[in-house]
Amino acid sequence: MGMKFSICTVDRPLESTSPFPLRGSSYEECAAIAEMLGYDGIELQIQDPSKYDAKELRASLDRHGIRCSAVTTGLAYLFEGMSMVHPDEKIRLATVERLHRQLDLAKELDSQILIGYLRGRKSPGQTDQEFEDILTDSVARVLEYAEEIRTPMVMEQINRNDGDVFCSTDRTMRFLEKFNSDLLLYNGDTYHMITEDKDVPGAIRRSLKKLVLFHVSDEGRLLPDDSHFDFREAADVLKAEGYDKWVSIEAKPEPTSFEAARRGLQYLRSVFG
Amino acid sequence: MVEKLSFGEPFIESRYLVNEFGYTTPGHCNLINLDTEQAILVEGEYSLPPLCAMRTCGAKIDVPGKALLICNAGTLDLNDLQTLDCLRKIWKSNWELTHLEKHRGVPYYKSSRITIDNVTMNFCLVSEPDRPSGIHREHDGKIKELHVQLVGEGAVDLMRSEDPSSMYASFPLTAGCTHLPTWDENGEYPWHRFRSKSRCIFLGVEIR
Repeated sequence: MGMKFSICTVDRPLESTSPFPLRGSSYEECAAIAEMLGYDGIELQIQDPSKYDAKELRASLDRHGIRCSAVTTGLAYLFEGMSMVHPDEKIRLATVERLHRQLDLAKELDSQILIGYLRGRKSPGQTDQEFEDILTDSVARVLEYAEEIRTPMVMEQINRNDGDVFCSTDRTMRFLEKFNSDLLLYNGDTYHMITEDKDVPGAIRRSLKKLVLFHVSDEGRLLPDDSHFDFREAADVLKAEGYDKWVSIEAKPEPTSFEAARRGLQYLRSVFG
Repeated sequence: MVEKLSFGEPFIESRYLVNEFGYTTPGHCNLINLDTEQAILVEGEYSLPPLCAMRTCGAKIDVPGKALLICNAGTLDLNDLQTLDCLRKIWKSNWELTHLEKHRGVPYYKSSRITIDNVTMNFCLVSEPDRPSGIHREHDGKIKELHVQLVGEGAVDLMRSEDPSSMYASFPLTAGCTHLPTWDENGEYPWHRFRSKSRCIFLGVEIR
């Protein structure tokens, strides 16, 4: 069995600088397009799971034979200021509680949650260790519930321009491994690898035991054009290692959302297929 | 104020501008002046009159009233069957919307409608050439009706009666264009219709 192809989607109007290529007025609409183009799944941007009927959402994806590759959580950081490392403990705990509800939704969708920006940024003057300690506490609280309901939580590497401390594949993997949980998993992302991982094949091999989601995104969050990053080299490693989980297009909706979705799948099929 | 709209997604990106000055249009856009009185100033020297449209490419605009920007619609290839199928899947046919017998088999597919302030809009795909809409002169209330051609070619025909052979004038529409007002000072219309000349997409606008 080969890799499964997915695309980041969003069901609300966001600026085209946001790297969610497939847009619609509902996730059913996104699923319908994804189905017609030939994707296996879609990644959902969910700010607040209480705004969704999980069973109806599941049914709307099932109607199109589309799976949910991840329930992604970053909109709560962008629009509500939530953060797993927020200096205010009340906000940290509210963020953990929000992630519990995200896990409930992901379980209904037979999927996993993805944590990227919601992990938050370092405060001024905070050391790397202080940042890690607070994040460790929040991750442990979320992971406890993830294990209770047996639903995976996935964390993403974020490059130094957009995130702190856990920027490279190796540093992020070392953080995840200390929890010793088979439900705390890893999302590699070529956009962040461009900046952080000099040895991309080595980084991918390093992450394989936890890698369940691989974001394909070029410099500037554009679709791959084979001039900034060697996607074929990355794909060759994944293929050689028998990786059979999600590979997802995360790019700006250019020139239009539909064209980005279509060209994205063509690229995935030609390079990762 | 600039508001991103999603009623055309994933096929067409649009932004609604109100009282916005010094805004630079992104990439290739259709700029539609939705105001009935105030012109839009383009690059500080060209005035786009009310209810008119033009194409812009990275132009600085001053919008004292209301405008719609439609981005990259020209990239939609209606001769590509996958694109056409996806459009027909997501946008609703006239038959799906009304279940009126006269709409059965009519190749008009409409995006969801959006109303902001006094403006109601939707996109419409006509998936076959030479397919006219119904001939009409009445609308739902007193409105100013515009058709803005975005992809392909069409026309707004003026007729003497409901008889299709009674056409006496036509506004040809190529991509990026709209037509002159077809209503009179009392808001009355002649018999008229939209007609596709090729597979096409237009924006329907109603201003109250």
